[in-house]
Amino acid sequence: MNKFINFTIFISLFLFSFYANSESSPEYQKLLLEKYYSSIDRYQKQEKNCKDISKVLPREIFSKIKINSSDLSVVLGYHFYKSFFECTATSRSEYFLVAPLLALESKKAREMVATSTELLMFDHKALIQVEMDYSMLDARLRNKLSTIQKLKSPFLLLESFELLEAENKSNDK
Amino acid sequence: MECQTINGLVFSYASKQAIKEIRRVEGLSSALLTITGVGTFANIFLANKVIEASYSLSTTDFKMMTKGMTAIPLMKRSIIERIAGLTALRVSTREERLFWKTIYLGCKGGE
Repeated sequence: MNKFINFTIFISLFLFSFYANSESSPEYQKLLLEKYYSSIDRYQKQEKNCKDISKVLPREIFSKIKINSSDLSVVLGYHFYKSFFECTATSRSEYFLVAPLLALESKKAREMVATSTELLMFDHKALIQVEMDYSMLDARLRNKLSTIQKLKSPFLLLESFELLEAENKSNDK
Repeated sequence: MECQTINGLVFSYASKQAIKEIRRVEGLSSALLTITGVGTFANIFLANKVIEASYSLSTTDFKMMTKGMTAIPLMKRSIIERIAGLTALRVSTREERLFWKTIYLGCKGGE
């Protein structure tokens, strides 16, 4: 019985992939490819825009919160990637509306989409990695941080870190 | 930022991980450039099929491909900058911090 089910699934998948590959017209494929390239182009432009609007965080941003230097890197790293990820969300969604459809069209298209998707998702991978450290911080601290609006817009990571680290050191003296 | 000589640079675990990630980004973007570099419509969809009619591979075909191709190196650069920025926060020695800061900001002239 299991063999029969497996065979049926195999035949269905084979027929589906044949149908998917053979059904699309060249005009459809061409438009899809154009939308795919445009979505990558728009993603890059939005990414640049998010970078251009980034500012150094003000030195008094954590005036009411005590954060030591090692937590500071965790806090800034997490909010940097989170705000950046949210800033580029629209163009990324656009890409994900087109790319899977393109991947259905041919082996070469699948290969291209897999590569571009991994590249586009690199920041998401980084966000998950920094989130692991961030989730280890005290919940009360995370709650306080979640109310700071300036952390929700893209900011300059290293420049902000150096300023706030120096601020921490001068307060410790 | 002015370019500086870094002596006695020893990479920590965080730096080694970041270097691995940068290599991956470099690999992905070169692969993508190779694919899109020959990524005309015919190459992507008709490579294994019999071409039954003549499809017009016009300037639009190459224009849209160029759009994608110019975006990739810029995307790559930005991803690497973010990796370098984050790593600069995670390392503890002055030399390592300077190394990642130079990648993050870039440098001109100097020693």
